[in-house]
Amino acid sequence: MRPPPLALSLLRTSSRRPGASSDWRLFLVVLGRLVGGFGSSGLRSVSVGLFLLFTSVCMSWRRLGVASERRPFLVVLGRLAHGSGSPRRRSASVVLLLLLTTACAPVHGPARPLSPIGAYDIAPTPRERVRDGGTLRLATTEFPTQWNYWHLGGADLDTARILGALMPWLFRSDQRGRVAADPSYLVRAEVTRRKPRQVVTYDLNPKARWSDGTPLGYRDFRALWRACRGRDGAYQITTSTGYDRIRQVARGVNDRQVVVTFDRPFGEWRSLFSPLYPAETIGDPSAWDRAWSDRLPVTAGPFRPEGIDHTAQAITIVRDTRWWGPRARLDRVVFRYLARDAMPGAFASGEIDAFDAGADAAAYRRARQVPGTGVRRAAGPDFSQLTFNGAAPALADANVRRAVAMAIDRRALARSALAGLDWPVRLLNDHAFVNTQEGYQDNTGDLGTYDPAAAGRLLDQAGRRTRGPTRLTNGRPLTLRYVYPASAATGRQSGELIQVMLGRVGVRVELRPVPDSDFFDRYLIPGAYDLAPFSWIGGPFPISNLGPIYGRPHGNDVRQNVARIGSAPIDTLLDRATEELNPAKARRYANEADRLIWNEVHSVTLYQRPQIVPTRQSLVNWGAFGLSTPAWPDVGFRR
Amino acid sequence: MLRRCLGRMVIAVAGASLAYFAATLALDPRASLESRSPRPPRAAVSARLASLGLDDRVPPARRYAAWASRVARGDFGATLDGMPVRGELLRRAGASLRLVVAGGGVGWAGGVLLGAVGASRPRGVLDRLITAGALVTMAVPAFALAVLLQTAAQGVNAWAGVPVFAWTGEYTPGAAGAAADRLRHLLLPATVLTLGQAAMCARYQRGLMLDALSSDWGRAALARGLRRRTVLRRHALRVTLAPMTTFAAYGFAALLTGTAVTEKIFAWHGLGEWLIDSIAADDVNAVAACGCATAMTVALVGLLADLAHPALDPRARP
Repeated sequence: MRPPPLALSLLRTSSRRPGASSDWRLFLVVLGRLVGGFGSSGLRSVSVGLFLLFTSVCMSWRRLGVASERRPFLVVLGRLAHGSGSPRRRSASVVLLLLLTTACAPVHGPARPLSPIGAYDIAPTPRERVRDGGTLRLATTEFPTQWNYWHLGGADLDTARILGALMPWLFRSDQRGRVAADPSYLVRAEVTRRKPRQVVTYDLNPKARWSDGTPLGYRDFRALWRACRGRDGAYQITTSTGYDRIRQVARGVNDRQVVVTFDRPFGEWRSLFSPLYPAETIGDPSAWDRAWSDRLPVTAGPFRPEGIDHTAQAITIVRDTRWWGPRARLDRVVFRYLARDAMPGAFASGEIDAFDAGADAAAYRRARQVPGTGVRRAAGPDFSQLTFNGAAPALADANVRRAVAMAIDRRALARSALAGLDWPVRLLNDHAFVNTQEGYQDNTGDLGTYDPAAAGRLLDQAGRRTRGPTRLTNGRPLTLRYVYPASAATGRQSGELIQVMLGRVGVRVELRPVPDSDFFDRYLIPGAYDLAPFSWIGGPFPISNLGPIYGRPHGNDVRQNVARIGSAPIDTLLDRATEELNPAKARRYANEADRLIWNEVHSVTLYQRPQIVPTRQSLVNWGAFGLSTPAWPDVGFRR
Repeated sequence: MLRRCLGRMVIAVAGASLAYFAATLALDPRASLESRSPRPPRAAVSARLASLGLDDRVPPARRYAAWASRVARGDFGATLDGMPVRGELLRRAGASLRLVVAGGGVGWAGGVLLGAVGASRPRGVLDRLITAGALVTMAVPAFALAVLLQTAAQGVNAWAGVPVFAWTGEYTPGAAGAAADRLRHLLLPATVLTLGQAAMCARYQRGLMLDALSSDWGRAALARGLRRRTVLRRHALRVTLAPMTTFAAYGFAALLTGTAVTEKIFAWHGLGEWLIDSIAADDVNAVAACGCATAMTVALVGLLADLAHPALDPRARP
């Protein structure tokens, strides 16, 4: 829940009424300052602003000549503000007002130099310099109740973050999205045969045991595969990607060796079986649903659960002494569910040690001023983009889409969306990989640069001639429906900018805010839109997710390709990228596909979403992780 | 009395049913499950919805009948996450109750007091100050008030050097028992509620008192030479308490789910926050349970106010 942009709408009201008195204007400006001032300039400007606000209300009412019987409180305030109302005192109070207005100006401090954003920012510190002990308190945006990550109700990012400290994740990603086996769980894992079928052999760490004493083994792999392959509808699963390609999971030379045979090759096989669960807790559909509902019966990580407090909506985990890997530095970690609006306050009162402010400028400003705070920042794995509907009549012609894409100044959109975050704008020019990721390259071709003149020429060539200010398509004005979730302030802002940008080339844009929960289901999936802004979630395994988004729809089933734009060559390349076992080649195929995706103008990518994490300065090996996996045993406070 | 009870029950049932229909027609749990990324298989979503009694292929009336018969047996179903709604409802209601009783109680008492003080010398300095304060408080949104108080408390904490105030949740997790810790956490959110309630009650109380003074018996009492103060304290205050109780009772019922903003900002995991979160998550069973709880509370406090009325106002006694 974001506060409504009160200042903006009110200021607009005032501009529509040119006759409004100067007091009203002052009132509105002060109100604007006041609303904008929360979190930034603290108590002073807020209290001063409140005073100003009511003083100017009184002055205005006086001028408007409201009968004094009807406004006793205003008279009181008016007297307070103006004294007895003698001309001298009044001028004094006006001077005072002016002084206060200047005092109320937002405190922005000196402009910060915008250093380029790194791939991660976690105050990396060697383990010896991290204090042994301490409690880390963090905020989560959801209070997870289904701890089975693979369950339909289970997979969200915060649950995954907590599970990272408790469950076996076989591979770890670095800040550029390169994955390597975690030696605590895997001695070795590699493709041992390619022909006739891909075979992957995992050798588990012999020390790796579940907290109930049973060693990790092939049975756990097999149970997870059987549930997730999607053949048995009784298992409520969140994804079958990868698992549906597996033919067999078998025991190797011993229980600790797992041999996985694939029917069709799967390049991102490292994404599978993480996190792993003990076979007996997920082996049948009822256990699948219930064994992890609101509890964590068995774990195998540097921490173990201590308790779940439903009233405080907090989950506490403590160091697990049976853990065979490097001993965790922290004694305890407390995760508390907080609404996003509560996080800056909780951080300011010292009740949490770090939180992700995302792209919330007000939260960022408020947290920045808390003493002892370091703001850690990195480009996150998610990215923001604008999707075109290729099935809609207005945008069915690829040349029209191309012209629209060229007439949109992506840099201006990014700059407005990231304003107030001290964030240097860097455009994203790849659908498959984010800027900080291994494999990223600019695939935009001629779409990468803002060129309204060329856009105009393209539209002329496509037969969308202008009559008056707008172009026509089949005799009707060329109008695009820009559909966005009503609560997304950035969505509206970008829409207004796009309206102006496309207006310059004669294309009309209608802004259509829709209820958040209807956005995908009632507009994007059925195709009732022309342009739609939203974000895609990224990660170290992007390639296997490309197929559903950029592959051609099968009849009515668009999967996630709400643009309904695709081609046979794109499908072939995406299949090839998904099946390629050599990561470098797979990335090359993905980028080749991306060049074609740009060429079809499926969507325009905008920017990598920021991770802005205000953190206590003493906390190390924690912060903005980008694509990397947190190293839980090393997290702690500085010695 | 019995008829009143029955009437209230009918209203509660009707309210709860309306809430269920509103929830089930407006919310789309299928969309919420399917919009997860990666997109889950369709069959899995359907199975899940069916197991929660939310299958959108079943007509709403049938779904309602199933829901109503379950609720009549005290079973509110499960949330989209598969957690029992009943346990969560009770826990959340408890949290809200603690906040609303503390904040609303003080606010109500303070409001009556301030209103009475204001009415004792209408248009006096004190009355005008109280009136101005009340209107200002009512005009400032709860969100702004909460941030303002937090900023002030932050200043106090910094000045004192020790955390005097804390404002995240009901208590520090792990220190659930400590009364001092709970009190520390209660102060700020309760103040937000107190201010809002006190402002409203003060205006209402002032109006009622002045009405009482200008009524026939009030003027008669004054004409007989009783001091204005005496009339106000002995007679008018007593008479106004009855309508005030009704007013406060319904205000209390509205507060129980109406404190969403305050609860969210202070991370107080009560009913209001749950309602907002559940609406955002398209969680029909949870929203319906909130509606049910509100309907029951309104009926209950209405009944209590009816019962209290004769005790406060002799004229209403049989």
